[in-house]
This record gives sequence, C-alpha cells and structure tokens, in this order.
Amino acid sequence: MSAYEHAEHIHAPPTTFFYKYVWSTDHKVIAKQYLFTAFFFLALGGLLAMVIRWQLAYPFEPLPLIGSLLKNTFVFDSAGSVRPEGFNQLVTMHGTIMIFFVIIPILVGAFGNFLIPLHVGARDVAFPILNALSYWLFLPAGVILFASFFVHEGPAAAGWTAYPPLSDLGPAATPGSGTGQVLWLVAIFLLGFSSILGGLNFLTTIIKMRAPGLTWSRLPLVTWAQFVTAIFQTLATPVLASATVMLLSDKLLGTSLFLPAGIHLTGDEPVAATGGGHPLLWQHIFWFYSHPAVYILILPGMGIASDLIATFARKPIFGYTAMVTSLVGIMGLGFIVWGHHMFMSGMSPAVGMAFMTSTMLIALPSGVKVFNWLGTLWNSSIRFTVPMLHALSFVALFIIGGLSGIYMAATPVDIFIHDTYYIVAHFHYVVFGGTLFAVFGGLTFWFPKMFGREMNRKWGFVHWLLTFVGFNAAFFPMHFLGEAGHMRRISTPTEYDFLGHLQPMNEWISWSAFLLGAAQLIFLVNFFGSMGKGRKSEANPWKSNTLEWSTASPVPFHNFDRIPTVYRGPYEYSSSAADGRGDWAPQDAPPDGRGHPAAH
Amino acid sequence: MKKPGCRALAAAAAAGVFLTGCTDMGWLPPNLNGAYGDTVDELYYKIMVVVAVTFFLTEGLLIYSIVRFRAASGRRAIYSHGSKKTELLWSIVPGFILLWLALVQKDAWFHIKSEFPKESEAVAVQVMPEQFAWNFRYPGADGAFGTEDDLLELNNLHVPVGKNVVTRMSSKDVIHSFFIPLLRVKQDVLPGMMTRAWFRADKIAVWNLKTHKIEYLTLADFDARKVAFPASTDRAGFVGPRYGVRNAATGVFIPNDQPGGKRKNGARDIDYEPPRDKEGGTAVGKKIPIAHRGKIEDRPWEEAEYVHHPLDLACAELCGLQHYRMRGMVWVEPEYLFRNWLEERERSRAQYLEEYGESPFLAAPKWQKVWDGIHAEYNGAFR
Ligand SMILES: [Cu+2]
Ligand SMILES: [Cu+2]
Repeated sequence: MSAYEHAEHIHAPPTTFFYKYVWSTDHKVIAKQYLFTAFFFLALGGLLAMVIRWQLAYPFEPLPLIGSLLKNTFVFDSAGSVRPEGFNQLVTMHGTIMIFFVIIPILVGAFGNFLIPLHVGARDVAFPILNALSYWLFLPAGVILFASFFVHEGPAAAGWTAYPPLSDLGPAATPGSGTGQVLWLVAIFLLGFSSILGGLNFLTTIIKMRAPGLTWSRLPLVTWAQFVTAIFQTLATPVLASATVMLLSDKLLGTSLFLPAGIHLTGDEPVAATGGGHPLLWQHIFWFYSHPAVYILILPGMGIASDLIATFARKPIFGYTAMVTSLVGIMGLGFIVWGHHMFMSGMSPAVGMAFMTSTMLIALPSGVKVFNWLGTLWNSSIRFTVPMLHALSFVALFIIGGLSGIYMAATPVDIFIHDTYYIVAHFHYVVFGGTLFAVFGGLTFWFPKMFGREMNRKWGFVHWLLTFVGFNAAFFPMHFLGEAGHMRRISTPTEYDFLGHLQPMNEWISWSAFLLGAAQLIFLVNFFGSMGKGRKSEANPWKSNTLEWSTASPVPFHNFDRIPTVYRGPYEYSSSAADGRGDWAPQDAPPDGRGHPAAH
Repeated sequence: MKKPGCRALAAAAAAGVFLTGCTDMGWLPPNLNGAYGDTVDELYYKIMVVVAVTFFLTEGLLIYSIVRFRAASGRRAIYSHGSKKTELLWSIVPGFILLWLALVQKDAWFHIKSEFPKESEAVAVQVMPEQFAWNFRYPGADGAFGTEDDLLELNNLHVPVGKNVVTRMSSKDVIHSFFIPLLRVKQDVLPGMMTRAWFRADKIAVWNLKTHKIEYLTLADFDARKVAFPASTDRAGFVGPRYGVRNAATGVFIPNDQPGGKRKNGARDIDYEPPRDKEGGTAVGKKIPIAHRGKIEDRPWEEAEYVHHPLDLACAELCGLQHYRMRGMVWVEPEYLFRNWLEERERSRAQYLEEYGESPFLAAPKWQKVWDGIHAEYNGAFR
C-alpha cells in the first residue's frame, strides 16, 4: 500500500545456533540476552545485599553457611565474617551491579529492545548489527566487573560513585583501589559505549521507523519514555565515559587530574605525582552523568506503569499530552540538577541555592505523572492481574520515593540527612519500589509475547505479595534510621553513642530483607518454569491495544506479516471505537470496525 | 470529585498528619546547636507537613480508587482523556508549593554555610582529618594558625558552651566529612582546599550515674550539679566511657572484653568506671576533680552525680578501611573547664619542651609540613 511497505523486505531467519542465539541481530533475541544476563547480576547483587544486611544486623559475626564456605576469600576473614574493607567492597559492588548491570540493562536493553520495534511497527531496530554490538560490549563489561572479585585485594571499594582521591590513590588508600578499581573503570567505560550505541539506535528507530499513521501523539508512553531515556543516554553517557578515562589516566599514566598537591598517606612525605588536580572535578563530571542516570533508571519504569495502568483500568491515560510533556520536562531539568548531590561537598552555597531550586522544580513533572495515574484510575474498571498489582505498587511506592526526595533537595535539611540512611531509603523506594516493581509488572505482562506462554498467576500473586510486604518492611524503617543520623556505608553503627539504640531496628530490617530476597526465588522459578511449561498463550491475552498484541505470541522472527497501519492512539479503551466485541480498540484496527485482529 | 470522597480524603490527610507527627517526631536526635539547629529541624518539619498532606491525599486517593473502581461485572470504565482544567490546577498549585519550599530554605542555607562568625570573636579550630583520625589544632595565645604556640589534639575536640566555634578544615589524604549529628553540622573535608563550618553548642552532654543515661544540661543546670570529668594529662581521674552490656533488671554491667559483655547484634551500653589506683584496684573514696558551681574541686568520686560525656563526631564520607569507626569526641564544656583544659595542654607542652628541648609540634617538622604546606588560606591570622 504505502511506499514505506514496499521498501520493507523480510530476511530469512537464521538457522545455525550461533547466529540464532549468540551473534543474533534480532532485537527480540538481544532483548532476552540482556534480560538473562541481568538476571544473573540481579541474583549476584541481591546476594551481596544479603551479606550487607547480615553484617549490619550482626556486626562481624560469622555469616552462616556461606561464610564458612568462603573463609579467607572475597570479603570474608578467616572466621567467615565480613572484613571491614570487605564491607566497603560489598556496598560498592552492590550499587554498581544493581544500577549498571541490572536496572539499566533490563529497562533499556531488555524492554527497550523488545518493545520499541514492536511499538513502532517495525521489523527490527534501525541498526541491528550495532544493536548486537551493544550487547557484546555490555557482556564483557559484566565479565570484567565480575572478574574483579577474584583479583588481589578484591573489587573496588570506593562506593559506586568512586570518589577520588580514594579511588585514585591505589591500594595505599584502600584495599580494592588497585586492580579492582581499574577493572571497575574499564567495565564502566565499556558499558558507557554500549549505552551510547543503544541510545543512538533507539532514537533513530523511533524517529525514522514508525509505521504509517503512527504519529508522535499515538506512540505508547513506554516508547516515549524510552525515547527520552535514549536522549539522556546519548548526551550524558559520553561524559561518564570521559570521566572513567580521566581516572584511568590518573591511575595508570601518572597524571593527577583529580589530585591536589600535598596529599599524605601513611608516610611522612607527600604522595608523589599529585598536584594541579581537584577532587571536586570528578564529582561534577560524575553527577552530570549520574543524575540523568537516575532518570534512566526510572523513566522507562514510568512508561511501563502507564501502559499497564491504562490496559488494566480499561481507560485511556488521563492527560496523555501532560504525560509526554512531563517526560520532556524531566529531561530538560534533569541536566541541571546534578549539584544536589554536592551540597555538602564544599561547592559554593550560591551554586547550591540554584541547584536546590531546579531540584525542587523537577519534583513537579514527577508529581504531575502521579496525579495523572490517579486520574486514569478514577472512574475506571480495574482488573487486578499480577502485572497490574505491580503497576499499582509502583505508583504507591514511587510517591514515597518522590516525596522523600524533597527533604534532600532542601539544602539546610540536607545538612543533617546527607549521606545517611535517609538517602538509602529514598533511592531504594525509587529504584526498587518504583523501577523493580515496574520491571516485575512488565515481565509478567509481556511474558506471553516474549515466550508464547503464560506465567503462573497464583505464584505470581504470592511473589507480588511477599515482595510488597518484604520491601516495605525492609526499607520504610530506613527513613527512621536516616532521621536518627545513621550514616550510610558504615559496616556497623554500634561504634557510636547516638546510634546504639537503633540496632534492633537494623536487625528487623535485615530479616525483612532476607524475606524479600527469598521471595525473589519464587519469581525466578515461576519465570523459568513457565518458559518451558506455562500454558500456551493467545495473541492478545490482556486485550491490549498496542501493536505487539496484533501479532502472534511469541512474536515471529519478522515481527509483523504486514507492516501495520495505525489508526488511533494506544489507550482507546472503553471508547466508541471499540467495535462491540469488547472494550478495547487495537491501534491497527481500521475505524470502520471490519477488522479486529486481536480477537481472532 | 464527589463530596463524600472529598470529606474522606480530608479526614485521611488530617489523620495522616497526626499519625506522621506521632511516629516521626521521636527519631531526630537531640539538638544542641543554639545557633541554627532549630532552624534546620523546623525546616525539616515544614517539609514534613507538606509531604504528609501530599502523601495521605495521593495514597488515599489511590486506595479509594482501587476499592471503588475495581472491576465489577457489567460495569464499564468511563471513557475520558482527562480534563485540562484539573491538570492545570494540579500542575500550578504544587509548582508554587515547591518554589515556596525552595525559597524558605534560602536564608537558613546562607546563614549556615556562608555567614561565618568572626574568628576573633569565636573559638577558631583547624580540623585536619586523616585515615582514620581527627586532628585538631588550636591557634594558641597569638591568635594565628601555623605558629609555634599552636596546640595539637587528637580525636578530642573541646568547645566552650554557648560560644560560636568556627572550623577551618582540610584533609590530609582522601575526602572525609565532618559530621556532628547532635549539632546538625555536616561539611565535607577535602584535600587541597579549605572548607569551613560553624556552630554554637548551647547544652552540655553528661552521663547520669544513677539512671545510666545521657542528659543534656544548660550551663546553669551544669553548674548546680557535681560533675566529674575524664582524666587528662596531669590529673588522676576515672576511666571511661567504657562499653559493654548492662543487665536491665540488676543494673550489673559487664564490659566488652569479658564473657557476656557483647551482644550478638553489637548493641552496647555505656558505663563509667570509678577511678583506679596505680595497681589497678578501685580507689574507693579517692578524691578526683569535680566541677561544681563554676569551680573545680577535689572531692570523693562517690559525690559525683554526673560524668562529663562527649558528643559523637562521625565521618560521613566513605574514606576507606576503618571509615566506620572514624569516631571523634566533642566535649562541650563551661568556659572555665575549657580554659582549664587549654592550660593543661599548654603545661604539658612546656614540660615536653623542657624534657626534649623542642616543642612537640616542632618535633615533627614533616608533620608540620602537612599542616602548613598545602594552601596559604588554611593558616594565618584570624579572619
Ligand atoms: Cu540526582
Ligand atoms: Cu573519613
């Protein structure tokens, strides 16, 4: 029909194992590669969290089972207890893994890859080979980071923020600041490249490859969120990449970009090869990337929640335009708020004032999104499926994570709560309470589309319930710890008079965290079990509108037999456009009601 | 929105603020900073009111919608793309509230972080953290840093009650953060540059020997009590604080290093030991210096009602291996005890000079280089 369709040609699917599963250029396979790799790191990062929580509940007590097996290895001492430097390595690697090797790969690598071509009605991303390359840069990055557990003195120990001079001065400053830190930097550098290539790919795909009739205002919000995220990735990640190169240069080439003169470690003489640099330089560069990264961590989650809420509330999104505007608003402001991480750093208070104002303002678009989700639920007809329970939890918990951010934005209040458990509570409410719940919602929602089978609903419900309870029991009390002044990243608070009375709460948090960790096993079993044994799924089990539901489950190699033509927005539920067979109206169903592909 | 819904939400918000008030107020530690501590806490609570109202409104609305609009057979969602008016309302109102929140922080922020008291009218201290200790340097009689009469002290920061204290801070190695929770002070300390902080402690921490609890006394209350204070260089005194487990019922205290003196979760109690004689036995009835009514008097240990207790100073920036125990002690004390302490330090310095022919400060010229060789602004006369 259209010129666009004539230009489209369908490749034959690959037949050998290597081209099918290893060097695949199929966006759906690459999405699964990201997903399974991220699952591995999720398990690893989660285990690290469990060890962290053990140490905080029972400081320097031998860790049952694991501790006795791993005596004198990794972070453990000869009794099987966590070593003090081991604790620093645990928090460093937990943060690094969860942010860079779990959340971003799942949101962008897995969901972005799987959904963007389907949502724009294309047969693949714009640059399939580049796409494969992105994954094959990401995987070695993960391997290198993982390898750092096995090197002399262990992995990096300077926090996921890797502040110099601690990260810069080598083993003399802290164990793990040698080889471990170098590997950390190399891994982040490779990951950065993977991220930039991925971002460019997604931008091009969304801009150039939308199906006929798919105007910008008919794009699903999850794809809009991926679009804005890709802009963040393309513009902010190069800055992180250069920061890692600069720090590597300090460590390996003897420059002193982040090191002022006159630094003394153990000896009487100053450390050689310092001078001329400034430690705050790193913080500015790092946060110029890493604040946008916080939005890379949440925007796709917001998109997923939007799609799920509209689908299961059987109602269009309240204020679609405002939802898009707020995404763009977050992007604009997201580039000028990084200094809120540096209020106590010694940066000029006047600059702090400016960053406080921009940070307060960035709460507004997030607030608008919350209000619009609530507006969507109003007068709706809610189906409590497992994906919807996760999406509703996302809203409930994101509200808490968003509101606690206001305390940190307020500079005088931040004086007290900066670098305490208040921030730990805040970002776990955003990244776990928000993003991970959206991820669970998205995985249970699109699972039929990915694997052609359904996940077990009963166990899905049990997993949701235990995760919701365990999460809140573990993380809500951290607000109180923070309010009491409990510093983050200390291996035990019991050295301090003002924190001693909080130790029973630390125990409570740890046991809640163990429950939360154990509940994730249910998810993994359900996920992998259903892949092989789940009930075969129909094409559109959720009666959803977007284009991926118009094609078969699992999605065939070429995605669509014919490139679809789009007639309406993604959320036309319960409208007059629904043709009487139900309350949904697929985006590609012609308006005269002749075809209703999803009902076949 | 329907009226009953409205009323329910208002009730939820009110109940929410009340509940938040009940559960939340207790967690902030005591606030002894008379210069701006209350301002920080007030701003905290101001935000909490806004947050609590928003929290209970939105979560209330969410729960209400989930219950009210759950799918029931035959009921269809009402098709709507939203309402521009509502959206405008809930964008503009929160927008102004957020801007207002930013603006109310402004004065306090600049007051705390850039309006430093004059050093000549305050107590000025240099702070130089290192892995993993706090070095403090007092300027001595000449009112200038980096001169021969400077006084060095490790991990113990003495400050007079009710007087402004100004710090000049720079790190010897990596980034540390100067955090005194009970004074609401936090400031990162970096190598290669100077940062400053200031505060005024208006109350004195003491250990109640009867109730085994920390109390915070005004100067007048302190003067009315008999307070023992820890041993310093040339005076006999008691040992402490020491840590262990106190049996809540019997009051028996077992120190850390004895069997039963440790809990599995690490929580520990504090105790002060009576003074000991040279052989290590308890010197019951031995006289020790006790502060009372503005004077130091030698009295028997049994007469003491309180023991002078330090505030925690913590490092809030991950700084390496022993970061978690980079603890300093801040002794807030009446002016006369502060002077007394300074004189004692001066005396011990003179003694050292006599014995070794050089001041302890000059005895380590390399150490001096660390303090003085970094940047000019760090040393020099009062500003
Ligand atoms: Cu940020
Ligand atoms: Cu430190």
